[in-house]
Amino acid sequence: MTRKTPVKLLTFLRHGITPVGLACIGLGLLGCLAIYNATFHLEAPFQYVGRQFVWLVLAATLLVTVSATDRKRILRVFPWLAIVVYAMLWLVLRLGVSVNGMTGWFAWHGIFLQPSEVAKPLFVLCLASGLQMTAKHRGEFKHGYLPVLGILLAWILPIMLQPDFGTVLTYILTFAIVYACMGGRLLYLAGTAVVSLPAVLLIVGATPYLRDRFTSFLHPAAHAETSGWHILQFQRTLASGGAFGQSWGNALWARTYLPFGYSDSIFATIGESMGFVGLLPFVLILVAWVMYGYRRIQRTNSYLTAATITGMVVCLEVQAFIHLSVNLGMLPPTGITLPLISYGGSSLIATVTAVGIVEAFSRSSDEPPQENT
Amino acid sequence: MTTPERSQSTLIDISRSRTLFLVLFFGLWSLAVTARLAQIMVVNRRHYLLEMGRSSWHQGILPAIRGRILDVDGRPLAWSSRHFVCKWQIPQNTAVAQQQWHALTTLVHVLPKTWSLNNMLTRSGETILLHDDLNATQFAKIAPLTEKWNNLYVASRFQRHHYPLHAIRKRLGHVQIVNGMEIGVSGYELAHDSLLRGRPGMFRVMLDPEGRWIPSTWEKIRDIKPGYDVYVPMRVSPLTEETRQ
Repeated sequence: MTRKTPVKLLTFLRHGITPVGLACIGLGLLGCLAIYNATFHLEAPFQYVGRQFVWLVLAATLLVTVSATDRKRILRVFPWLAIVVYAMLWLVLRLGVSVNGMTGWFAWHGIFLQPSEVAKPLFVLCLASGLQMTAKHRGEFKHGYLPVLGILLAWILPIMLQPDFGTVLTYILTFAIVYACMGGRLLYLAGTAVVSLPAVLLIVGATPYLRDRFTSFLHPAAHAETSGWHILQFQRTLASGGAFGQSWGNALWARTYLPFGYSDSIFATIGESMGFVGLLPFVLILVAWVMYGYRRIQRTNSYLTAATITGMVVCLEVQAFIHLSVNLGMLPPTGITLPLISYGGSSLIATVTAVGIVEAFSRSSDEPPQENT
Repeated sequence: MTTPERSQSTLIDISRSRTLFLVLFFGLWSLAVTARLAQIMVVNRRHYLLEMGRSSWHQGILPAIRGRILDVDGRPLAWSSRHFVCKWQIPQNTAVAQQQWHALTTLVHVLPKTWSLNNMLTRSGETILLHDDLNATQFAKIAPLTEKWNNLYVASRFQRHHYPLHAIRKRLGHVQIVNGMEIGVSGYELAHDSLLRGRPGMFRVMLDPEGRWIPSTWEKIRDIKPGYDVYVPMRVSPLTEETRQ
């Protein structure tokens, strides 16, 4: 062991343990508390929170590692990871397990892995690299827009076949926002939306559960006993919390009536415990995350870094706001989790990876502009 | 005409300015989220709580025990006793019916011996009376099962007892059971019904989506006021008792 080793270790830790990373771990612990709050009445009260804690420990290690990794190393390694994870997206259709009609998980001795979650940061890196490579043709349709659109379509196709339209929506919104922010032409995005609208309407019309979700979203009371049930319970759970909440451990409505109070509905569960006043910090954290990404983008001179940071920030932000909007009845129900808070190891891994990549890329934000890398 | 190529530095400048719109967009979205939160959790909260109360809270009465009718010497002529009955709605599912049947017959031994499993299976869906007077030990054994199965329940009933002499009984009158409470319909039972009846208590409990009680939410919202004892101008004299004998 040379004298350089402790210095390297200190540098590693200094780069790996950042205030944002610590905040993420803190939110992860809050998530464990929220999951326990929603599930402690079950016969196995530590079934969910125990697993989530183990995933959190792994995620913390991953976060430190990714944050401390050099940007260039990440760019060297990610293509191989992307290939592996992309293959997993197709393999899960064949070998995966089906939950609630969606074949999206690999299961092994009670451990579930959802490739579409883990793929998010890799998709963003692919998108950022694609934008970087086509930067010279940014305003063009054929050489500037179609290639990056192809990246999106390649990644969302296997996810649509699961089917997991909530996650597909996250990918699409991330693509659209990142492309627009990185100098793309909004006309192409609008044109794509118009052209794909008939196909979207056809898919929604032909898929019964999607149709039910939209009709119940428009008139939840009319479908109170069926597809509108979840929407009504979101509202009632939040109302039960009131201004100041019922306190931790007393989220009675969430435990009794609200489906998936530990994952898809966790924001409403926390709302019943903490009240309106307790939920406001969550909204502020989301705004703070966007501001943090904005400040990092302002300081970089690298197009690739700017695209990557924008993508990671937007991906998590879109996911979080879709979750909040669904819980508030502003969007039809989807199976989207709240990053760092909801139960789900794959989502936790994807989130900390995205945060770690933002930290790693931000560290090299003062490098000179690069035209060809 | 070809689209002019842009240098990356120009694109970075564009991205910096467009990212500001991104911040504004998410800022507006967060304001909409906050407004919606306030609407549900503060402004319209009462409306949602009323809906929740209608759909999930159940109110019921706690019957009061009826007062006694006493003669001038304080001898009881009419009195009530409380008993606990056990009823079972036979499940439609044969496997569940068998499982519950075996549990009931091995754990509590309350079933009449004349009934059999085959007999039960032919009457699925029916509610049958398993026992009409549980003792404390039987009650303690059954209580955990009633929490697990929503088709097994224990209810209380009152039974009115009267002095066995026909002439006295005729003057005492009769009661009817209405909503679990004894109501006087003739004789002294009717004449003094307002004093004898007492005032029932009230409780409320939350129901889960299957209609089962959530025990931890049970709360009494009004106390029971037992009925008063009433003295009537009669005397059960020793002569009358000898005559009866």
